[in-house]
Amino acid sequence: MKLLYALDDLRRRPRAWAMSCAAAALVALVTWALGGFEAVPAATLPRPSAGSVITTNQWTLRPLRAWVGESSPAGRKRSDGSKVLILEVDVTSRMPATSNLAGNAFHLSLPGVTGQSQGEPKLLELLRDPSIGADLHPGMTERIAAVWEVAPTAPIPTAVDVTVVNWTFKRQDSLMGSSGWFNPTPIAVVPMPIENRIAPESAPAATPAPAAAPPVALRALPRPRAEVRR
Amino acid sequence: MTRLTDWRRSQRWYLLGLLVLAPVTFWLSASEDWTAYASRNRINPIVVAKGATGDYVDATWRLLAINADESMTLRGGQSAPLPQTLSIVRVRLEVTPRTANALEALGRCRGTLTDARGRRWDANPSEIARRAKSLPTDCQEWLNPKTLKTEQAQEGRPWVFELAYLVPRNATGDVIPEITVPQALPRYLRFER
Amino acid sequence: MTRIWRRRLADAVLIVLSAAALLAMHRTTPGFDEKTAAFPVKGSLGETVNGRSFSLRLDRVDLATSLTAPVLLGPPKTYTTSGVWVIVHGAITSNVQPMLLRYAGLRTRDGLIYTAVDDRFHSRWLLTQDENYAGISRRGILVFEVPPDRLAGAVLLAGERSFRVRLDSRLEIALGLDESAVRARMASAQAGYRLDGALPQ
Repeated sequence: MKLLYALDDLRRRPRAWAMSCAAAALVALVTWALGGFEAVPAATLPRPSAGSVITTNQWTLRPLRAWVGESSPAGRKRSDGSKVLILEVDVTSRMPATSNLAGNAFHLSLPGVTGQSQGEPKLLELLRDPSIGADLHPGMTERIAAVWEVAPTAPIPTAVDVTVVNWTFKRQDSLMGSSGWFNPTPIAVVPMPIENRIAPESAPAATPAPAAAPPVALRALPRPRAEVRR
Repeated sequence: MTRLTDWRRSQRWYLLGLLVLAPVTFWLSASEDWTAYASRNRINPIVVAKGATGDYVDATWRLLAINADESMTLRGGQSAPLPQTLSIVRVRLEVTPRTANALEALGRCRGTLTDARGRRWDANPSEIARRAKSLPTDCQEWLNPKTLKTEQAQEGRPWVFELAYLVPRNATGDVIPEITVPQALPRYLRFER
Repeated sequence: MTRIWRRRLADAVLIVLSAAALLAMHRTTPGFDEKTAAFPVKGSLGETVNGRSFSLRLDRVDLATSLTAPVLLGPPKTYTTSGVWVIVHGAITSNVQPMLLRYAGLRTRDGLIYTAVDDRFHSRWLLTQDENYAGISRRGILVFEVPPDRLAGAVLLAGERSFRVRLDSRLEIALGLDESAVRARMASAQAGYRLDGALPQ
């Protein structure tokens, strides 16, 4: 109701009315000039193949190969039968200081495969003198392994689309004015075939009842008690 | 002049209110930070004069002895001299907890040494954790290596224990022992020598 | 009429000037990083550099093409690099209370920072591990991995908390290596430098 009275009031004063229309027209003109009325283009990301070089603001990346195995190159292995999905990448750091954030450049999503919250790898390993954790120094190229965990009951993947994510550096963020890397944006999707490096005799049983399959690490003779319980 | 006094008179209650409310507002907004600071930092010492007893966390405390050693006892029982720049200061204290709360609070007590410059050393660093143990090294309980039983401080009974500190040799003269229990912050106990 | 228009002009000019002043203040106000920046304390190799909570004295710099460090179980492991290993010997003393040297880095002439390596291998001599007690100095090493062409003019940074030391001292110790010194050292860089051998005097 109040709005109607205000509009009516405005209409009775032609000068105010003319000025408001002029202001609205000016705003619309500026918005159109800056591109505000254009449709948002549908995103189609480039799909470079494995082995090609992708440059983000933080790293120069060259994804090499992907494989699934029992343990990671640095020897990390879980005893519940989880496998690991490894993506080997040559990374050169473009950061101004040593950083271990290379994991935030890769996202993937596959059923049964877990990493960090957004599909980032669980951890990174350095393939030189294999060790856990990859502190990448500026300008030095290293081959790293990004590690995801594959649940014991999940199907072994044979191919995956790895999304490469680009972050932007802000000297002053909007919260506290401190600097940091923000706004992750996908810039490429790399289709990678996944090699299966699991030793054949430890392949999980194809039975649909997971409780019946014994844990992979347990190689001892089954004790009579367990059979009775089942 | 009369205009001002008239104005003051007409506004006097508001001015009085301002005089009261401004400091209260200031205190309300700062008190949270202040109480958080006070609960984590040592601000008010309870100073125990030489030879006297002090009352802290419902317990009676007394400094029995403070000695500086220039050698330390190794695992096999032999004694080895320390490097010339180091000493071990041993502080022997007696505490008599008076209530059950005191007994519980003692479990988290921390011993420190401070000097006039404000430097601080913590008790029983791993480098010199006592091996040849004949006295408790903790305010509340202790595993006696000889009887292999855990002994504990008890209400109303004095409990003697000793804390060891690794300090530079030139600081042994003027270090002051202190005891802090986190629940009693910002108060802490300071023993004069 | 002209008086009214003169007033309107004066108002408009004031508005524009205020807007310009606000914009200038916004652009020049330091961000959080600058407001809480570290206090640099500069020094050079061989002298004791005193920060607020700790002091550091660096004695010498060794270069190596590969390192050998013991492993908890098994034979000692060799660590290679695509650049060169820089091992800095020194002593640290805490000034006030027990503290941990959590950060050490090498800043090159072009402003890049190479953080000390301390989780790839295990060595009890690393200065970034183990607490330091007030007034008691402790000798040890810091290990960095740097491309050899960036080593000249490098400065060692040390801080109690992190590279972005906030409102506390950050020690900046020049290693005193110019191009010819780097070339000479590279020619004599060892392979298999033992990280856990007895510290040379």
